[in-house]
Amino acid sequence: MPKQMLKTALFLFIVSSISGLLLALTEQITAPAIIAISEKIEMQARSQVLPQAKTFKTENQLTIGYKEDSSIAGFVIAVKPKGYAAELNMLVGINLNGKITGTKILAHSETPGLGAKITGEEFHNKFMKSIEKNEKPNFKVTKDGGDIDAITAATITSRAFCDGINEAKKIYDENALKFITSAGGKS
Amino acid sequence: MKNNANLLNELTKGIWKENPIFVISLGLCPTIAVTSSMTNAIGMGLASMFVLVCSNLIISLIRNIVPNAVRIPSFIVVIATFVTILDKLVQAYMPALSASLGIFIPLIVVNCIILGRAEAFACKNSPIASIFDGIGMGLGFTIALSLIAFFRELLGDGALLGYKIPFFADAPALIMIMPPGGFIVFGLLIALKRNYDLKGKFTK
Repeated sequence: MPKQMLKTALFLFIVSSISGLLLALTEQITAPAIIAISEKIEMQARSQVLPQAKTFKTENQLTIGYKEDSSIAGFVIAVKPKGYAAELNMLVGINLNGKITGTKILAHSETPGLGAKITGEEFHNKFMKSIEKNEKPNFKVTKDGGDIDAITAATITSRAFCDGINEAKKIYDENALKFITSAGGKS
Repeated sequence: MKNNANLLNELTKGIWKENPIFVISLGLCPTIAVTSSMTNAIGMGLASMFVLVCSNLIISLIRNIVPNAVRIPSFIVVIATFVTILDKLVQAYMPALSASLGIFIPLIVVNCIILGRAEAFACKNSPIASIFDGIGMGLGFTIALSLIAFFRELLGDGALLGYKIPFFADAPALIMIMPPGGFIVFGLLIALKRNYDLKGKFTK
């Protein structure tokens, strides 16, 4: 009996060891590519939400975007509002006038086919259009009396998106001013 | 000669006669979850096929030395290893697929088709036959997912593979891409297949 037990334990040990070895190997091979991809995505996302900026520098909660002549173009703010399934990992670009220049969802766990549409161009274009014609948009979904059209059947995700925008605006209001004035500000 | 015919049978049985979705009815959880779009369905099907073929091969190779007491834990370790490798590879080299299928790939571990084939086939048959079984079952799974997704995406989103289809895109029936739509399409397709299979089997 003990011999049988030993054999069983040994087998499981060997199987797990080989498995561990293979996983370590895979991690070794893929880790650089995965990191490179996430960095590339972040870089692209920053230029997407703040197209006027050419270079970026991160300070605490803000990433400052500089134009080619090294004056400040605006800020990229990362926020994590709570979505339907988990946090949305999103970036919001705000220029010196406090206007939203773009948004981007970097990561999310929303339902594919429903809440996942939050990452799509359709929603983003609609959002940008609705704040373009509006001087002081109310960042809430229309169901809650705001100006933002929610994604059909994904109100919670859309609400989370609005929460993210509002949080980004709050961070902007609290922190951005000192960078604008210390850089000479805009005349 | 007989051997070759057997192998061909292992390959084709998964597509029609023993289709994992429509006949064996295993792995229904990912079936309902990913079939709201065809791209996801095909991605999920191929990903599962990869895991199925790899795990079938390894499990068939170790079938004679695995102690009975730890048979299932060993199979799970083998399956989970391949799923994790696949997950990392997709993340590293297919970021677009990873973005849309991200949360479903790790769930292949608990897809009952994989463990089901390990238990029902791979641990009783030769490695070659097990590979063919894996390919066949994987194909059957992929075809079944794509078929369900075809109807759900077309009717529920007015699109196919992400491209809007005129007329259908005018007023998509949203329920079709929500879980109820998955059950409706799945049920109708099973009924159609049964009806076809049983045709002529009953005489009055």
